Amino acid sequence: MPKGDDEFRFKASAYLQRLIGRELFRSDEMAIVELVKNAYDSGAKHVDITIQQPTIKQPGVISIQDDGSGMSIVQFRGQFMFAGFSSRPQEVAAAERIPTGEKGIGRFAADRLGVELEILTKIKEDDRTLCVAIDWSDFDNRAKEFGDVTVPFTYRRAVEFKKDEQGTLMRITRLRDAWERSKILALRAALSELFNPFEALSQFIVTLSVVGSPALSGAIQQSPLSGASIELHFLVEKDGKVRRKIKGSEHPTAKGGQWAAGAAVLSELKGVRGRLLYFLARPSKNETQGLEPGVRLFRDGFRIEPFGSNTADWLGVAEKRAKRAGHAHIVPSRLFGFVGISRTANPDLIDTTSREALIDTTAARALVKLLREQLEVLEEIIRAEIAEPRWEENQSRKVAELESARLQALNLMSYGLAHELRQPLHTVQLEVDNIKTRLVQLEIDDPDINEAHANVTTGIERIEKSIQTIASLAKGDLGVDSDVDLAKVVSEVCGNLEARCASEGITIQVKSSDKHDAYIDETLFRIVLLNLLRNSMDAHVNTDDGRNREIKVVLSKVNGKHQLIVTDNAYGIPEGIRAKIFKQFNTQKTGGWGVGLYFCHTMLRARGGEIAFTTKDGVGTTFTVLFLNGEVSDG
Amino acid sequence: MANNRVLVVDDEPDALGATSRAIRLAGYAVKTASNAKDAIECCEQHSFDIVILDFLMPGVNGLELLTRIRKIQPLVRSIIISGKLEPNATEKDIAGELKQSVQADAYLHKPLTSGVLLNTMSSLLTREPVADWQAIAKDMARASGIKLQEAARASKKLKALKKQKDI
Repeated sequence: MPKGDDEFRFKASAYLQRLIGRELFRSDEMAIVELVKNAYDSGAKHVDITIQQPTIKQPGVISIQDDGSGMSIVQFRGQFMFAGFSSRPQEVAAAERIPTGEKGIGRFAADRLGVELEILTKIKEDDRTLCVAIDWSDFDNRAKEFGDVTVPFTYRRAVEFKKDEQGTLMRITRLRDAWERSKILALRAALSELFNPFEALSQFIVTLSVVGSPALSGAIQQSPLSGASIELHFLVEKDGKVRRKIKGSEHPTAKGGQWAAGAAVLSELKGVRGRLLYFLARPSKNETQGLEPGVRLFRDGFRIEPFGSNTADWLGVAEKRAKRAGHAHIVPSRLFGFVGISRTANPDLIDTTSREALIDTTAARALVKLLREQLEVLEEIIRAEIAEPRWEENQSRKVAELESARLQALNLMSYGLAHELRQPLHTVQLEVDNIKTRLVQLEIDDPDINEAHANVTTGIERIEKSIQTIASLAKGDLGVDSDVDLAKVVSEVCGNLEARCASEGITIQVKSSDKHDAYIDETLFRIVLLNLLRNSMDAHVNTDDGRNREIKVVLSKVNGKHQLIVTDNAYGIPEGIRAKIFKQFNTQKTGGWGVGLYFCHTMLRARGGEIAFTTKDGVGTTFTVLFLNGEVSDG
Repeated sequence: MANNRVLVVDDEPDALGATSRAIRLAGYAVKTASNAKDAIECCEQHSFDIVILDFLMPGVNGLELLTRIRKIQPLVRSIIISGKLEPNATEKDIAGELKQSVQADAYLHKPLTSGVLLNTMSSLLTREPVADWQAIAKDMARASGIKLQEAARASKKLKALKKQKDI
């Protein structure tokens, strides 16, 4: 650049103070947060914020006192009074703490809160306290130069600090806003969210005291969240590689909770770490510690607003959900994230002066990309492990429900049909008997007529048996759970079949406790038991080798489920039909409809039960059925 | 047998025809009715040894009709034929269930062979009709406006009457 003839100099209007103070911060809470950060940077272990709400008798006061290093006159003049100057970038290397502020304007935030600011600051080495009074209205004159505004101070022993104490007290008066309860609650929330709950700052305690309101007063605390279904931890190593650990998942990506290395990212992001917590069900307030969902960003332990607030969808989670609904598996209201960056390790991640965004840099864009990749991994786990199986489960349940609805409709129809068939059957039976009677009366005894009569009677018996089969599947109160003693039901159903068993030489043995209480669909249980018993009895029709025709029924409880086993020692189920035994219209019997087992299987599946069988040629068949105990509602 | 008179009530003409034919061929004197009104009228005009009722009829079921017939002919024997579809209950259960509400003498299940029907009828005729004498007395008392004490007396009288008959 060519050397000029002369030089211009910038001058700053006193009004500039207003731009970097009162008008820079979005809210009073953020202004107080700025002052708390300043206290932290001064090495304080305790910061006490006291709010005296204005009353008729006395004006409102906000005071912020810390036990940090305090400032000498020289320090005050050189640092506090030098707008935009901060020695902190130079302090970083030596400091125990990584300072949060570096812009050198945080102190002007006090203007946001009240017109007058009194600063009392004391260093350990000096008995006296520096007392400074600032009236921000002095800066309102635009014509005045920034540097021409004077700030008076005294240097004296003050009651606020004892001899060996150090620290700074900022007392703000002529408050610009009335500090009502809701505003104080908002401040508490902002302060409690200021720190990363998973990386609590050691030796830094913030206490809020509201004069006359113990309920609103107390130390600010934020506990870590608990009970998340899936936790994804990530860390950018020194070599720029992302390592990941996933808890609460069996997904291959999780690798048993070990750190797994991923692709390298920008070296500017090294040291960036975080955790994404996802709740599969809506979390309780206890689990979230009252935090709103969102992915929050913390720099050296302090929150950077507005990341993670409900207005900032900075990772596009809500937008994706809105656009792709069921295909975007992350529900924003169940996602909580805590991402840590550092001023020293990630100097290119800078927030704007207003603290409301990251300045758009390559590193900032890379950070967003890194986080979106982590969210994709999380989403993949949710999709593969939960969403997809749940979808499949839903589908099969829908199919089963449809099937069951169809069966119910079919039942209703069958019921009517069975009744309609039985009526003419009754007439046919009587009339065919009448013909026979009349022929006898007419003294006609013909073998062909007799055989025809016998055949008609057999046919009627078979039709009646079919009607009974349909009727056995047709009942209205299927699907209703109730308290039932299954031992009693088994004994009843077996008892009803006694006559037929006796006539066919079959013995039924029942093994069960005297009482077997359950809360299940009694009708379904009866239908299943009756079907299995009838099938076993029908199977025995073929056993003609002189074996004892036996059926065993065993009722027991297995893992909270009710288990019914029906075993027969007939010839077993022929190999050709085993595979399709639960399909409809599959039967080997004459007169069977082939819907009994299909019905049982479908209904059981719809109610979460199971049915299976084993069979051996010439030896017999065992059916094992599991019934889920229904959930008794709480009231 | 020809002395025994039977009333068959069924709303289905085919079933009514078949049943009455079977009974007629067996030598009984048969009257038929296809609804409750006709059945009551018939009972008011003739006395019967046996009534055979279909369980399910439009408007009134066999049991209700039997209750009304019993008021006219307390000593009539009764058979109810049921085509009721109770998949998991045996006929025994149905009979028990029906007996709880009214006392019929026999319960038969459709489809029925004429042999079973005729055997049941002849066995009913060989024994005394089952009747709840006290209930009959109460009904009669109520119907004729007699007070309970008088009803009790009537009941006693009826019992005595029955005894006399037995002797």
